[in-house]
Amino acid sequence: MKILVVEDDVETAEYLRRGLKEAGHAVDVAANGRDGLFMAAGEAYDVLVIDRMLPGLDGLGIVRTIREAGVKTPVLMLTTMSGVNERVRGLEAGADDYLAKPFAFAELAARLNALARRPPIAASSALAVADLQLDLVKRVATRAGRRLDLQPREFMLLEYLMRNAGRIVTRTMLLENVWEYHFDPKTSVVETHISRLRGKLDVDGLPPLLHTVRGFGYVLRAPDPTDPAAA
Amino acid sequence: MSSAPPIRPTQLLRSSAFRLGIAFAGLTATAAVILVAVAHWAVKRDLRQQIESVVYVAAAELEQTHAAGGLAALLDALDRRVASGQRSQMQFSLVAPDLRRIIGNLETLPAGPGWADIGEVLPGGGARGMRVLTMSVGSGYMLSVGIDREPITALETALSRAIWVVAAAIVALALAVGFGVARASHRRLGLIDARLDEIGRGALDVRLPTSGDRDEIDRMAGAMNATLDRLAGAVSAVEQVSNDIAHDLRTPLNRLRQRLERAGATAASADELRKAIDDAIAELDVTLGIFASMLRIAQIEAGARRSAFARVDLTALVDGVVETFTAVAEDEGRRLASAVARGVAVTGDREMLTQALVNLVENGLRHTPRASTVTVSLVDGPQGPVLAVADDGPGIPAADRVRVLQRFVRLEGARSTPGSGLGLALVAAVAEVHGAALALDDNGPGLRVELRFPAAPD
Repeated sequence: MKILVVEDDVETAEYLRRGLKEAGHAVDVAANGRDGLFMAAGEAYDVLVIDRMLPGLDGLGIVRTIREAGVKTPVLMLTTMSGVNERVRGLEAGADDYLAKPFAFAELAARLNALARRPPIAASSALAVADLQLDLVKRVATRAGRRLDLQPREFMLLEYLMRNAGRIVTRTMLLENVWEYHFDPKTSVVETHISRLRGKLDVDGLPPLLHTVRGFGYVLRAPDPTDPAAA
Repeated sequence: MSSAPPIRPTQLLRSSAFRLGIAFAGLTATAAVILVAVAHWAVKRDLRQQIESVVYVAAAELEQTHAAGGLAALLDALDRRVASGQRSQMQFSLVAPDLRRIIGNLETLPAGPGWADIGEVLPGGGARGMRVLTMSVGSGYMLSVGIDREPITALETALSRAIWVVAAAIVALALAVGFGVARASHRRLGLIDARLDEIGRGALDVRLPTSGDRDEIDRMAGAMNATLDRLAGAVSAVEQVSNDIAHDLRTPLNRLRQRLERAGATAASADELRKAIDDAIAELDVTLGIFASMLRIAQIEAGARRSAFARVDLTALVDGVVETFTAVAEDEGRRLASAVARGVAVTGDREMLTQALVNLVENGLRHTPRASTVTVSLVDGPQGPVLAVADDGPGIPAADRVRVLQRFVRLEGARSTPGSGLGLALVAAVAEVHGAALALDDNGPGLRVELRFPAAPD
């Protein structure tokens, strides 16, 4: 996908450009707010990565301006200020996600994927991945026709994974979106729930859907029909 | 300790104590002068009346003599009086209708009947003031009786000298007292000035001198000392935090440096190097986590989010955390129990409250032996909602319960478990910003932590 990075720190910008390029994306870099605004408004990008603090026009200003101009491109805001206020202000200005520096590149990549292919907010009442079905109205999940006995939080976890099916979601993304924890718990909250969900989801004889991607996060995806060793 | 510099004249004039002293002296002197003047007037009047009555009595006697024995008897009586020199300060004369003095030692001729003050020329030169009463006797004769006014004059002189002396003494005394008071207060204020200067240059342990008089300077110095105590406390807290940061961040950073150095020098394969880098990143993440926690606590303490406070459904919040951590507790070989009252709400920040509760529950799970039970309870008491997390683990000794709320404080037993020592400090900050009381109690056995929220205003 085509990504615009607006970042004034040369080293960070280069790190992002190379990393995203290696991941197969086309990357443009703007080093200040004015150029960033000009490019963000003038060209069609799949996602924008905008630093909060920029010379000239700051990140909040860019987002506010392009949103007023009707540009709906998803925006991931980067910041060194991780305060609650900062996040709220960023989201209020029109950013779609917020990532505090320093961050792991995998975290950024996962969030960009989630943002860029965010499905249109269709009022679909059901989600499906392979033989896994989720009825959002009745709050019922079934695998291969069998009803899954899920706790409320497990249902929310599954829903988030299904909405991002095929994409890696990180532990932090799950904490923020499923639990709304904007801090790092000291215990294995995510691991525990993933493992329980997996226990209910990937039962004997069925190909596993929920995978752990070591060092990155988790992914829910349909089994690859060309790979018989999926189990 | 430095002493106050000597007082300079310009400082003296500006000194409020000195000015007050002078004003007081002026007032006192004026009052004294008025008092003496009134006394003077009264005494002088009294004295004159006395003198006049002496003259009057003598004149009346002589008149009676004339009435009884005629002019001859009067002349005789006058003659006797003049001759006898009786009452030497008195003088007499009898003047005929043709203004010729018939007899007497009073040289000055009277102007007419009644009282008069005259200057009598003395035979040997000089003059003296006389108070003279003249009256008509017989047909056209005038009898004058005079008396020396000297006693009155002497009194006047003495009194006016006394007035000046007293006034001068009062002014001098007032000046001395004013100067003394000014110097004393200057010395005290100067000392305070000097101490403040020292404090300003960083000597935060210096305190202002107090005399124990409980006067206004003492009270002011006392108040400033109390303020300085609080400031010094705050500064030492900040220093403590800086030291803690220096220690708690430098230690892992140093470990990280050593690890990378060793990996760079000894790693034999790319895999080993990769492993070292992964470990280093993990270590760095821990350090960054500590940093983030500290910033978060500082932010909470600053109360920046208070403006965004809203109604928070505490029941739902606690339910959510309990649901999540019931599973976590099971995985960690512990049990999470709960007793959550329905429909409890507080005004606050949902995120902060969630993090505080999660920290408490995680502490309960991490600092207890396996098979322990952690109980989360929420009740809506008459004094407001109370959120409690209790465990049946080893607990915290009473002596450590306050200390453990501070940043980076980790009790001996907790050193083996990973943690930053910031968990309870964050809970304390969240409690503070919500106006909630945080209490650590003995759960017999175990620890019971309570967050007592204020009752919602109706």
